[in-house]
Amino acid sequence: MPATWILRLYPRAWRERYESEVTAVLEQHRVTLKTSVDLLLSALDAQLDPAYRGEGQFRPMDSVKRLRSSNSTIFWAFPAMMLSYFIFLSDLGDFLDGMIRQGLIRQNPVLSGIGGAMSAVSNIQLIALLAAALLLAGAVAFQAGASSLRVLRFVPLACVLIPTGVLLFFWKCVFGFAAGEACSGPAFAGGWGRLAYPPLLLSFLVVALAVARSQPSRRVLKIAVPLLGLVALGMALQMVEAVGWGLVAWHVDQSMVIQIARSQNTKFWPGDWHIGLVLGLALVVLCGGMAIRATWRGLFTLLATKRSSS
Amino acid sequence: MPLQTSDLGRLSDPALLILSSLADGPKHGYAMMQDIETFSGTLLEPGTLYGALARLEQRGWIKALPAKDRRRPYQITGTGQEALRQQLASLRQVVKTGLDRLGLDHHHSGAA
Repeated sequence: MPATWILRLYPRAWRERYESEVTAVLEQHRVTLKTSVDLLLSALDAQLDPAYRGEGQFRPMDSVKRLRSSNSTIFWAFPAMMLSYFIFLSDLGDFLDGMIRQGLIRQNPVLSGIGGAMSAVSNIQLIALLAAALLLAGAVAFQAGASSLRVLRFVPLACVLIPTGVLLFFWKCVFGFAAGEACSGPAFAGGWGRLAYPPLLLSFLVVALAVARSQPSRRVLKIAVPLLGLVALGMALQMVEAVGWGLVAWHVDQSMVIQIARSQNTKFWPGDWHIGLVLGLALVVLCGGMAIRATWRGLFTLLATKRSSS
Repeated sequence: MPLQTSDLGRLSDPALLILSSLADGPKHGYAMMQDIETFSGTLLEPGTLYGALARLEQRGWIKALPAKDRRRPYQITGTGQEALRQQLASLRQVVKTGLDRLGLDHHHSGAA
């Protein structure tokens, strides 16, 4: 990244005051990787410096807006990532489950460990998401000023509670450690419990909309940030995992990967299976990226408001 | 406001170097970088330099003079000079103690 681009990461007030001077210095200075890292660290430092947040920029109302935006983004990014995966990449996942997990992974302690860790991550992620969804949907339902139509306030809560109830009813294992046929993979619930997943994903979209359009209190929004941070962290790991397992599958049996991708994606994208595969991966990465950015914004807002008030 | 740079965190050392550089007259950013490298052997990167300059300006220890082209000279203020004096006095005490304990005080004084 050219060093002058990094200057865009500085606060607006800082840039108005110092950007032209620093640009002039950079033109005379031999720019190295150290220079870029130094500028990045200094940009972060300036972002956290109350003096360079324009007057009123972090008023409580604005921080609420930022937190709402951050929280609602993760509620739509997560189902969007899952849907992208299931539409474009699920056959490849099944191939990995069937072939690699049985053969390659079980023989390899490192891969086996990664597989187990990712199972736990998936479950923690889902628990955190459910907790945040219930918290926010509950706040929308019971806090004043949420919606002009009182009955509508309870829709997000109902949307989350019903599939969550189904899921818990069929919940056979915790973190994949308990014995049982449904606990072989990252399954939160096996068998009929899986029927709860599609409505649950849709309920997250309802929560996203409710959070964006209503006014949960700042306190509730702040509590949700770390929970949704866990979700975003899980999404980032899943993004890396998707690419990693893809590379492993490619290494193990290239022709099989092509065959599976072709058979899956010509269903949705007749003619060229590459497009479906690339689109699927791109959507997964895009959603993961959006979630990470939203978390960063949420955490930054928490930190910034804390500094402003201290 | 305290006249110590220690509360500037990672920018405390660069702040001291900048104040020392400006002690003999106004300089713009790049001239400061060169001067500091000459007298201390430390090459301040632009991010650190302007991070520290901004903090020093906020405290009123330095002030910006009118810019020439895109170069803006900075000048140390009376408060900045006082802060620099206090910092150097405290450093001198550290240097003296260190030299005494190493048994180098005599040679050092002689050389000076």
